Amino acid sequence: MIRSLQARLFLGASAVAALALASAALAIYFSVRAALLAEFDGTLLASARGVASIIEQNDGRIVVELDPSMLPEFARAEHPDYFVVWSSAGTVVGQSPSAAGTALLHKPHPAREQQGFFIDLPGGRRGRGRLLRFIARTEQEEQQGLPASRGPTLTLLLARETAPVNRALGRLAWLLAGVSIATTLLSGTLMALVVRRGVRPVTALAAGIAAVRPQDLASRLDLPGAPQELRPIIDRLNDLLERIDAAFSREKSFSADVAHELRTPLAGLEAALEVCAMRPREPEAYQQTITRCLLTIRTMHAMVEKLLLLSRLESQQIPVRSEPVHLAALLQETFAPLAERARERRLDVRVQIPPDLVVRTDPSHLQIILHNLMENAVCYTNEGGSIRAGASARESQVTVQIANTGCSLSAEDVEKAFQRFWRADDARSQANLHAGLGLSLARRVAEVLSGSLTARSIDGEFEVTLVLPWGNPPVLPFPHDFRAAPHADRAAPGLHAPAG
Amino acid sequence: MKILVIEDFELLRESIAQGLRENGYAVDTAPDGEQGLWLARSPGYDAIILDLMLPRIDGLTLLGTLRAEGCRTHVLVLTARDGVDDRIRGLDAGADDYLVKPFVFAELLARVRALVRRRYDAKSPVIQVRDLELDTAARVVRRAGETIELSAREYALLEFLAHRANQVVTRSEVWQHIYEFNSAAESNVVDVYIGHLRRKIEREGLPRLIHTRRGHGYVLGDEP
Repeated sequence: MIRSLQARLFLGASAVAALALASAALAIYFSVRAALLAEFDGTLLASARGVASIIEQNDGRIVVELDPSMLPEFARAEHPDYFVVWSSAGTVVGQSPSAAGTALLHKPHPAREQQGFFIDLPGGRRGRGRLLRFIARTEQEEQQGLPASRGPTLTLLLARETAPVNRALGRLAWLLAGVSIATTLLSGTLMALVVRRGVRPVTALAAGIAAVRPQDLASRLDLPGAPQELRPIIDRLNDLLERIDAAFSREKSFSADVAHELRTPLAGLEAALEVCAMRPREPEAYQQTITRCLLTIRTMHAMVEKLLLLSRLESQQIPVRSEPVHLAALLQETFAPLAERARERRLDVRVQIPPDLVVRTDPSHLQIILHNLMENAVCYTNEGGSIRAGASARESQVTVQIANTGCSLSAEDVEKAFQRFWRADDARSQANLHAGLGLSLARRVAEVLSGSLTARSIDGEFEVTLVLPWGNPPVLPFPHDFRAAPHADRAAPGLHAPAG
Repeated sequence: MKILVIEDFELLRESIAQGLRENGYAVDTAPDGEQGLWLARSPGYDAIILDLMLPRIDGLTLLGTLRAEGCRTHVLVLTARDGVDDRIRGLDAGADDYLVKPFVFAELLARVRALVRRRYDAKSPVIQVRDLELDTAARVVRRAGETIELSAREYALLEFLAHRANQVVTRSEVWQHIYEFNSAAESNVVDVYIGHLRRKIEREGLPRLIHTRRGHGYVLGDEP
């Protein structure tokens, strides 16, 4: 398979041109030949008629009055014409001197009567003959110039050498061949130039692409005057460059953000410990400093763990299992560690999950999502506010919703909340220093589970919706362990289903 | 001398405030840009420590607004971003100094002292008023070679008077520069502390340094 586009185009076009020229040459040759032969046959017929007119019948006898001076072509030694006349019975009743004693005296097949045909002439020459059926005129008819009226039908063969015609056709053949070859060569040369020019935009594009370096992803391919076939490629490439560029800047700013996010708590730790150490203090003062520092360290730890998990998810290092998971039980288990905090903040937590709702997914991944969503809800709901969690299954999807009151985010801030490290203003100075990674992490995990996570803010309520593919889990009885294996009863405190 | 600390991370804010107070400064704090701007507009701050990443109004905007309003208080900018561009932006927005988090607290103290000196146009950390010598770095007071023990409040008052040596300082100016915003002190506390200072600094045979200008305020230095 030829690899070069230019070569392919060139060879293809040249082959087409050569083929076309050859076909045209052949067509010309054969049509000229047919015309020449038709004309030749016409002259044969005319000559035949001429010969027929000098044949008389006298009382049933056929006389050929052949005067050598009248029809010299039949008697000459060089390239003579030939004629032979047969009666209807097939006997030869007349012939030209040239035809005497030759094989021409054999009467040709009657099927050839309406057209000219090739015939072998004496002396090994090639010729063409024509048959004519006629009735000989009587002498009176001839003298009076009348056509023949009645009498026996005779068959006349007139034959002539076709050498001149062949010579002409030969010259024509050479001419056509010569012209075809010359034209092919000439057009081939021009074709090569045209093809090269035509392919130039492609080579220019290739050069343009090769010139893009990882450092200057901000550059875009620009090919003014590019043919429309290449435009989609250029646009798509620019589009990809844009996405890579954006991904790299996100990467850069992510690294910067991580450093920043860790530096602030570190600065707090350093300042607190330095100031504490500046002078001797009461044990209570040391205790307080230690406690506050530990709290900050735990927050940093949680942040680092989340970042590590996010990074692992990005590089797909964590295998995803597929098991039947009981949603209600999993939610109870996830909520348990947050129950105390919810109680402290006097939150009203309501759960509305069908007890037999099972989804086939990775239980620990799903737990991460639910934990982050519930943690956010418990931390950000206004004191005395409420949280409601619900789930439903429909066709091929399971939808889980967690909503909490006390949300003051605007619609655009809601989408920002999924960005890493983004926190609403009020959340930033809290002592527990929320990392702002919860939603970003939850969404990423949801994607890994082939699901999606969205949120909206309506009437002061923040509502997060998780959609997961159903996964065709088997129908199982209500479990006490969310992993759906037959276990002993296990009471899970903390959540209660609403009445009715 | 009074410092305003505007920083949203509570542990850091409270630690800086505690550290500064234990080093003799009066400190007001603000957890976000809005409160920070409001406080910064009031007189009496000898320096402002400003974090750039703040909720409500961010640090650079706050700084730009202050400068546009003609505020001349020196500002030290604190931030976790240490890119050169960020430093340039902070300084060009009107900051006087820059410190990257996390930092050594002793360095923060030294930079604050430098800003205070700049505020009062003092080049040397040692202030000399007649035969009274204040080492503002070491926080040591000497008169005629003898070290004088002062309480934190007394020293703060004396340092302020010394920076404004030979100028009349009104009672309210003293109040603004030595007392915190939410101080529960009474209005005559300035007079009380002037009394304390006089008792410790003035000596028989040594020229009077602290003078009262009836209806105006106090002066540290030569007899007006």
